[in-house]
Amino acid sequence: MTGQLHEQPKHKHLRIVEVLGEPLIVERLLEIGFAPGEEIKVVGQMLWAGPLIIQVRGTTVALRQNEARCIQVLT
Amino acid sequence: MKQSSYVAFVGAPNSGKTTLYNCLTKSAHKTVNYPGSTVDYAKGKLAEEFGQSIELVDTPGTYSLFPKSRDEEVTCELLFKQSQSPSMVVVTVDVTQISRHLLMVQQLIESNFIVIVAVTMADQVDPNEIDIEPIRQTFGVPVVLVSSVTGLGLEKLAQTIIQRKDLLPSAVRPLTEWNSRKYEAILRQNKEVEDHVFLRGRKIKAYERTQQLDQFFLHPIFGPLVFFGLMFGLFASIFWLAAPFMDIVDGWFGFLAGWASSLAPEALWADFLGNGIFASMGSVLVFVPQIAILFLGISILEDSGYLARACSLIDKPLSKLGLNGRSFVPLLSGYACAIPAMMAARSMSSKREKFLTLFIIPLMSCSARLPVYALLLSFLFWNEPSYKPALGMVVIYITSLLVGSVAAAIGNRLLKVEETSFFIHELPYYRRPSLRMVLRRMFSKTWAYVMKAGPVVFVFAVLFWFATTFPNHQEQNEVVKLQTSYAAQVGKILEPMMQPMGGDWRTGTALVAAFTAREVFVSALALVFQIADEDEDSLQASLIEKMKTATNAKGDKLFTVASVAGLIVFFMIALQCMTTVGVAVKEFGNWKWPMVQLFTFTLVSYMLAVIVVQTLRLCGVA
Repeated sequence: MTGQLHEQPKHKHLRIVEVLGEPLIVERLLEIGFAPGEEIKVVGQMLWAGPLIIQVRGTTVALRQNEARCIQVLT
Repeated sequence: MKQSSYVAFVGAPNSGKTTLYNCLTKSAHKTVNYPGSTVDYAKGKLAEEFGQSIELVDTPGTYSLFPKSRDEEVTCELLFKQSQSPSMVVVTVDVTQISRHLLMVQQLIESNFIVIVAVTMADQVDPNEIDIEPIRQTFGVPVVLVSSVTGLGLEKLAQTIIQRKDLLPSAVRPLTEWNSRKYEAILRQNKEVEDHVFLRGRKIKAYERTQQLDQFFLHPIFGPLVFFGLMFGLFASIFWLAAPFMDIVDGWFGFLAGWASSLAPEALWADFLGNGIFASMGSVLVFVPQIAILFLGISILEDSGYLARACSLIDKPLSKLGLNGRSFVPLLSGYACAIPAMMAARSMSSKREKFLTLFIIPLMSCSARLPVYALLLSFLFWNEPSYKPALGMVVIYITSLLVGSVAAAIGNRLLKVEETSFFIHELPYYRRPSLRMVLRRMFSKTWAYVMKAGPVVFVFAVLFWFATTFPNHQEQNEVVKLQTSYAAQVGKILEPMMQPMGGDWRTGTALVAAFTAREVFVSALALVFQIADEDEDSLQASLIEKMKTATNAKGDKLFTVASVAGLIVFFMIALQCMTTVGVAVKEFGNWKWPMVQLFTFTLVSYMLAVIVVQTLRLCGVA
């Protein structure tokens, strides 16, 4: 089943299917390593519905919900 | 077209680029302005021990050749501006992030650059468990495994640069757009390379440790607690750690000023030396310890990897004000000095958020205000327990943060431009900061501050001495001499404006002088009150004694609780720093906004100061 990253539960292994959305955001996401096929995991979220903490390819990245929404994942 | 002969260091943020650069140049480089722009980059030479002198340039970190912030634009401008293009590029690839960082190698090769890959942070892995040959095979460029910590590979990298320095580069060409499929394909290729590099599977201790630490530092409850604790500790150390150093500087210059004046009590030159030179130099240098400690703290937080977490933690509240988590470092630096703070805003992607950040930076309580607040609070709480002025300072800091938030919120409302805002922030591995690097950064930033603000303050203090001494310099009565001086003449024109604030021409003159730089206020008051002639053990003590007894023309006390509170409010908001205005012109890219800042902040500060003074008086506070 596919879904958007910001809706996914914590600590679940996910695979990126597609990165869609505003070109500027999509490009930065791709550059930083969020490419289709990549395995990622949500590990936390900052207070007050702040940025999500995502593990991707051996590093940790903080993303706002809005950016996480661009990432389609296979659950 | 002939290309300039230098080697550019390019790489993603946190890829160990600058540390490697410092190792190869032995830190003997200077920061220069990029031609035609306002951005600085470091320029140096390959250290002598490597045998040949080659020019090396460090560029701001960038994830790709498609720039998304001013910082990244600078790197791309440097690379692609014909006739200035480097003859060779050293790309740093963090050994723990190979598949992601190789993206840059691919883009540079596709742009026709002569590339050397430096695989950095070799100390993070077991050298027996990795093989960098697959990188060379895939990209067909020399690859060197280096560690700036152990020194591994530095010599080999230098020799590789030297061997290849005579290669003739072909004309570089900017990349055409990369789409999602292209990124996907390149990342897949890079992942395969990475899998071959790690002979026994990718296992990085630092990452495991980072994940454990993040469970604590990014915890919904402990995270914010640690954040506030660290910020409190940082600001507390500015006061308590710096205090003894400040006393030493203050005592020294107080002694020098008194000594110089006493050399020839009647002579003009001795007065100039004492009141003009030493007293004003002291007023500049006395707060250097505080700036140094704040920069030291910021450097430690940054190098340890914590600052990136702090940015993420604070992103949500800042976004409510139209700012971004990335505004955090510029705003925090603003507590040291607005000049480096404004330059730190270059890493911000959104022009709108950068604009708002630049707009409120001058409202952050910079260290130039510290000597002013220190003086005014010491006056308010003279001979009272030391926790009282400390508490007063905390109140001032919190208020200045609120004022900045209000200004940002207002700006956010007024600003009509809508722009994509995003926060995609890599959280690097936690690392033990290197003492040498941290101290070096502290020193260079503090020194840059002294060199930028020092001469202005100094020249103005000297001018101010002339203005307070002439034309009647032979007058024996100090009071008459001062009252007939040029400074007093200017001050008296301002007096009608100063009266609602509870001041007279002397405060007016000192405030005008403080528009060159805030700290000049202290040295200007010192000059107005001729404190170098006193026998007190410190400049501050004698200045406060004079302030306690000063009266205005009507015989009322000049400095009261109300008028001093008004001054504090004025200093909190007014943009009294011409160096900041100069830097703001560069960073905004126009004169309009710095002028708007200058006038609105100053007008608002004056009105609020008047309101505070008058309200306090109405409430019966003198």
